[in-house]
Amino acid sequence: MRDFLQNLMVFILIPVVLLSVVFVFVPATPRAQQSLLFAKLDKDRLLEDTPPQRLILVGGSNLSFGIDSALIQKETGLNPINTAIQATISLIYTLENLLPYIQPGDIVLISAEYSQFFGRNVYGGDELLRTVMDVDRSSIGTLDLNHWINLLPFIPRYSLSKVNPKEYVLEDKEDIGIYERNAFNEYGDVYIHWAYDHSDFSHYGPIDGRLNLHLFSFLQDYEGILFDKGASLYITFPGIQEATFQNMGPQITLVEKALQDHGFQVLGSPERYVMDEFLMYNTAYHLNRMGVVYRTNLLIEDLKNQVKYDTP
Amino acid sequence: MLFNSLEFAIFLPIVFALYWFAFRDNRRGQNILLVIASYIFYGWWDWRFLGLVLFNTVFDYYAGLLLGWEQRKTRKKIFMLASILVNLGLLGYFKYANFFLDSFVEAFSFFGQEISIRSLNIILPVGISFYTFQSLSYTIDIYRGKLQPTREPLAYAAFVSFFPQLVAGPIERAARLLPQFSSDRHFDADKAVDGLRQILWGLFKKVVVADRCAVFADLMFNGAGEYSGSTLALGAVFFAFQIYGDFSGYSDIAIGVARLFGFNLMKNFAFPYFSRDIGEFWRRWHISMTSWFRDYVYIPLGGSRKGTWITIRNTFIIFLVSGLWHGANWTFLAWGMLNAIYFLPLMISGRNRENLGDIAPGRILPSVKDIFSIGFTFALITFAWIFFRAEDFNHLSLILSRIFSASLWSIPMFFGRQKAAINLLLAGFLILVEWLGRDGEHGLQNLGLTWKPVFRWLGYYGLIYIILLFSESGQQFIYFQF
Repeated sequence: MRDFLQNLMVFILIPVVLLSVVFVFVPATPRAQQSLLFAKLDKDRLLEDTPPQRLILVGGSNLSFGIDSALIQKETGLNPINTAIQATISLIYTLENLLPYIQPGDIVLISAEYSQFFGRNVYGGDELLRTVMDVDRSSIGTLDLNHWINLLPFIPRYSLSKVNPKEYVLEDKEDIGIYERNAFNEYGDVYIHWAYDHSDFSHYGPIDGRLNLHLFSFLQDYEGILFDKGASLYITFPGIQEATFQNMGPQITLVEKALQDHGFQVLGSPERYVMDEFLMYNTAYHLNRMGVVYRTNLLIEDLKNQVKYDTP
Repeated sequence: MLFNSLEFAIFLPIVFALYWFAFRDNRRGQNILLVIASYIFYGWWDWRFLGLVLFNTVFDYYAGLLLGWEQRKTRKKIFMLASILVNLGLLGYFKYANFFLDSFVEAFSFFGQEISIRSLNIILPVGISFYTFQSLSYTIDIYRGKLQPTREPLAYAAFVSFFPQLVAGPIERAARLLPQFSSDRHFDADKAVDGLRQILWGLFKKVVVADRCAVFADLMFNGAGEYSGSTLALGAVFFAFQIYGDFSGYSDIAIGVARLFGFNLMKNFAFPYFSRDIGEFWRRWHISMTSWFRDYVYIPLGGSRKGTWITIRNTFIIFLVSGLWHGANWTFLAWGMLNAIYFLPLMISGRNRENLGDIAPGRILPSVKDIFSIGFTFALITFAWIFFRAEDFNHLSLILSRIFSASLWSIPMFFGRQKAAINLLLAGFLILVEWLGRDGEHGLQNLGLTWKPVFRWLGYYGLIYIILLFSESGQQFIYFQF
């Protein structure tokens, strides 16, 4: 038994030590540096430089692939900053990251994918790990134990990706990919796909897990902090494919009710943002150009009707 | 709890440490620990069904005692029938009630009679087909006088709920596994090391080959109407690797985990895709289920000893029952029927037991005849998997109409062909390793044993590297639904 355990320990420790070294010391690979996650650096710069009055959009890819900020600016006079990249970066992390940039008068508008309100989804996944390790190590302190529990399973694979030769060879191509840093425009919206047709994808099923009440209390505290800084918080709903909306019906109702019960300022309703198939792009939350315009116009209406802001 | 989950990666070392350190040389303590661990493992999915496992255990334990105590044949038979009725009744309720209700309504509607029966809101308990059959083997074997009833309720509870094989087999026989719970276990390092090797190989088959092939099998079968015949045929090949990697991978992990605790579970897959005919395939595929049906259904019905027609009838029965065991759907029955049709010519011509020995013994490469036979058998099996994978008969006819069209000869077109090619290479690696290790209990058992330890370890690290780099997350084990 002793020999067995000794050998097993050595067998496990050798790769663990090697991968730990790689995990901590090897920087982002050239291929990783092209990914959409690095757009965080550009978005942080927007948060620094954009003048008031600002509309700061926070959420996952339903926003990055679903909003035309220029249209919002034109119709409302607000200066939009679309901070959204991907849902698995974690809504809580994104909001924590946003706090130092908040200015008086900022309107923070959250539009989170429904799954973020359930189970442990809001604590992030692979993309969050890559964000804090590759893109912005200074933000690692914003992660709490809940985040790390979620990130732990992704560490081996992430570390191994740094010793994957493929990661160091860049493809020679002319087009910008939709999931690359350069796919975002000057407001932080992904715009590359606006030129593309609807592509086939399957709808999502019902969401597993219980409503995450910790997220709601976090948002309540966050609203208080924003209030102290002279900013305000609103929550709206993602544009979602109709079939997926039907599948997630009971869970979406729970989210809407919980938001109301917690007293948040809510724009629109989930039903209002249900999208026909021809408005979708490549997932149940990503919109094509027509969908982007349609959804943005709905949001503009809601902003005009429900949000107090200075019109230029 | 899934074998390929973080929870299990934490659960297993804890149970292992308690088993060999806290309860060393304490069989009763080890059995208590195994029962508790197994109930936690099962309850992780849905704790409500723990009652079902407990009921199954208590009922069959006492049924076994009654069967052993009772001397009168008629009463004995009544006890055994009661055990079969209760076990199959529960299985039937949870697994088949809606299927029969819906079929009943459809049959009436076919004859112009509209009747309204609401489907029941039933959740299928994970692994119910596996532990029901395992438990049944206990009472039937006692009835047949092949086994004495155990008087150790803990050992029996551990036998029914043993977590490595509780939810997807192998379906163990009481005569083989139960005595292992009633005897002392001593740590065997060689056995444990081989168990770890088998777990590693099972993980590769599941999270790399099966889960990656599942992406394309799902893509092609779910969008059958949009793909050419050649693409759907390729989808069937992906599904063939998915189901083999998934199920045999699970069995490898289960057997490997059991070995860490000093138990020997039966071999469930013996490299079935190297089979040279359908008869051989069914001796190598899901061995614990096929042998269960052979011993408890086929042979009691007369097997092949009562003339050609009875043998044909029994063959069809056993294949149809196997199909139905997999799920409450007519497509599973059609799959069973198709396999029976494949098998029939071999049986009638007396050639069904022609390929009993090893494949290409003592040679690295198979003969040309073997290559042809293996390829032909694989094609037949892959075609049958289409029936297995189809959602219903409409879906099946759509797929078949596409496959049997001129588009079968076109180049497969679908999104992600580069990734698909990588998946086929990984499946090819699986085939290569299993071919080289086909004389062992599992693909890695004998491979590299003569190498220097440093090279052997490098080989294992290489495999772990492939698993971590190429694994596809988020797929359940297919056989949990059965």
